[in-house]
Amino acid sequence: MAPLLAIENLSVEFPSPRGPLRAVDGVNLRVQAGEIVGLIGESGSGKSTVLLAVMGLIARPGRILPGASVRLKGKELTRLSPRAYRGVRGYEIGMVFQDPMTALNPAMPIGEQVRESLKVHRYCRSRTEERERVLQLLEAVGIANPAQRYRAYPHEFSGGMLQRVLIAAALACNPRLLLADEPTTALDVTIQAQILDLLREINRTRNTAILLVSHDIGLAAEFCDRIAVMYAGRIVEVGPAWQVVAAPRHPYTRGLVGCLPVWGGRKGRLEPIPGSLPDLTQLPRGCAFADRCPHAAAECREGEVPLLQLAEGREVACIRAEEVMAG
Amino acid sequence: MSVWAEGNHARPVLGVAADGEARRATHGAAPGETRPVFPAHAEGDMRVAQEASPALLEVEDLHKHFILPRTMLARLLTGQGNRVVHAVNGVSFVLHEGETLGLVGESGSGKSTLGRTILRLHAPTRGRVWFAGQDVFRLDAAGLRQFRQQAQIVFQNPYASLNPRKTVRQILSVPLALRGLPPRERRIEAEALVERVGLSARHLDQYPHQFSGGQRQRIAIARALAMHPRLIVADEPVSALDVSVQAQIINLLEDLQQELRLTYLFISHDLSVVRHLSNRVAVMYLGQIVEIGPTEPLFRDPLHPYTQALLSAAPGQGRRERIILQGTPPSPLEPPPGCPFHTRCPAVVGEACRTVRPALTERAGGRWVACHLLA
Repeated sequence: MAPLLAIENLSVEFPSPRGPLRAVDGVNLRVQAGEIVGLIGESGSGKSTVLLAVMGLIARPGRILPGASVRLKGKELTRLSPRAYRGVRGYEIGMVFQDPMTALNPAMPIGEQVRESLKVHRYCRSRTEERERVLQLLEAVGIANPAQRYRAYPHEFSGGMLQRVLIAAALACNPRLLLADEPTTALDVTIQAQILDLLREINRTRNTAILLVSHDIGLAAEFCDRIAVMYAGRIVEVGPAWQVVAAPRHPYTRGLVGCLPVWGGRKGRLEPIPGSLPDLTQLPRGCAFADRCPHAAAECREGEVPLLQLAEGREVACIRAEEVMAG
Repeated sequence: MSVWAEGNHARPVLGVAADGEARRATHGAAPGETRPVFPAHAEGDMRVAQEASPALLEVEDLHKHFILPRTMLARLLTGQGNRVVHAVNGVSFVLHEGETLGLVGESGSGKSTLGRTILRLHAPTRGRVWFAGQDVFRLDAAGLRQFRQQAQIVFQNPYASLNPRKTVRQILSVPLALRGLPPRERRIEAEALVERVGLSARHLDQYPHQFSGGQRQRIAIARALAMHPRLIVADEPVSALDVSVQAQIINLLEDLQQELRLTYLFISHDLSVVRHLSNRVAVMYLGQIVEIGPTEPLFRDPLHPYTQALLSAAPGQGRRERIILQGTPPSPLEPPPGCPFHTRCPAVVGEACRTVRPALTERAGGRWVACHLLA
């Protein structure tokens, strides 16, 4: 089955005083229809930049390097004109951002903000129909009394409610793919549970695929079907969500999991990863994690380290993966 | 030579409070005086029991209300006075020397305000705080200065809590000078401090912007340690950090506690971090503690319906049955009468829940819970 979204060899560079900064470096990722995929990493790993690249929102002077391909249902997006891209954003791909308090226009009623993308994409035949659909959407995301709340302004809502409004706006034209950049990071944990519940319900009932960016591995393990772990702009491990967290194969993923205070109540010492992120303006050709890796050998630094297929659906960018597994 | 050894055996005694009221640090009250019973440790809790340490901090029915002034016009139009935010609404607990009490709750639950009011960074509306037997709110200027030396705070955001125009040396020399060290010793101790938190002496002449978030938090911790505190209120100290850096800071806090016998009030919304670090945990909701008790029993078998929902909502704990609460917490501007949680409580809500505020009552194993349904 052809994937809904296929990202191939995606690299993104931004100029910096110290030379070009490679935020994303040769990323390959596929999202199937109806699937929930998590893109996990620490700050600076490039996970949000991947989402922006898919949305065609890499602003100059940043640029996607030649040779990259982003295909949605087989259609190449990277070569679209700005005008054509506007027909994709909000229509074929919806996006939810991290901070619902700043993502909405404070001077515009929330109903109108949800209606905007219906208007832009001429999704409905009349204003009455648009209004009708906005009310349905607000109801579907769990906003009580949508008819009354239509004219309300963002400041009249709590953070969780605003995130629901944003999700309604992202879903307005019934896109097949929803990009969510840390959609619950700004929210409290009980509200986070409500929003994740809503996203899961949308995924099930509408078969909307979700590409979720998150720094929270525990959250991703529960919410996603598959997880891709990013480090220094590269994907280092991909696999079924629970497998990646329960039995990580890449030394970086192992390190990340070792940093987590575990829910089981283990009171042992945490094991931080020594060192810090490499300089993204001078990424090594070999493995970017080698300097912090307990398993690193000379050959790790020599050539590019591609994602190697392990078991079914499991890929790891580590030439020593077998030794790592052995301990 | 460890500069650490020195400060530990010769701690200054707090100045006597203005009204001459000086208390002993132990639970002992003056004869003939009845003291309220606090949710303290009990024999059931092994970790606390083995500490068998006296109370360092006692908080007694603490309230902090903020007044939101209305304009004259608004008062005339609405016919009402100023509005009041009930940020902390009657909190009592005891913190023992060498212990870590985790304070969890969602935004707006009053946990940060509680931490700051305890340190007298906010003036309390009502209530008492005893630190090492002294009434914190009645300390005179000299006593307050000594209290501030012994009780320090580490803030969440190390990008905002360090002065960007001062070098690390300048940042650290302020508390060292306050302790009365001559310049030469300040230099030596500043070096010892940065090395203790995992930086090196060459970092002393750098500015905050030259450091990463984790390094800045180390500097903020060094600044707090410079005073030789006994109590550190840590207000979300790792929330702004990536997990790999977060783990380093958590380990550092644990090491320092071991070495210096520090007492922590650890405020966080991150339940797994609190579970990892704390001996006991207090759960706040709308300005009140709804449950407090030893960490593992509380996490394994939460008693209060809110604690149950909160723990079930946190990701990363396997596929436990999730309790999804309806709605959002009520505004602390108009806290509901009765139990603060009754508007969202999934358990049966009786008449008492709506009208009578439940008191924290003791259960087995040193656990305390405020819920009518469990009474």
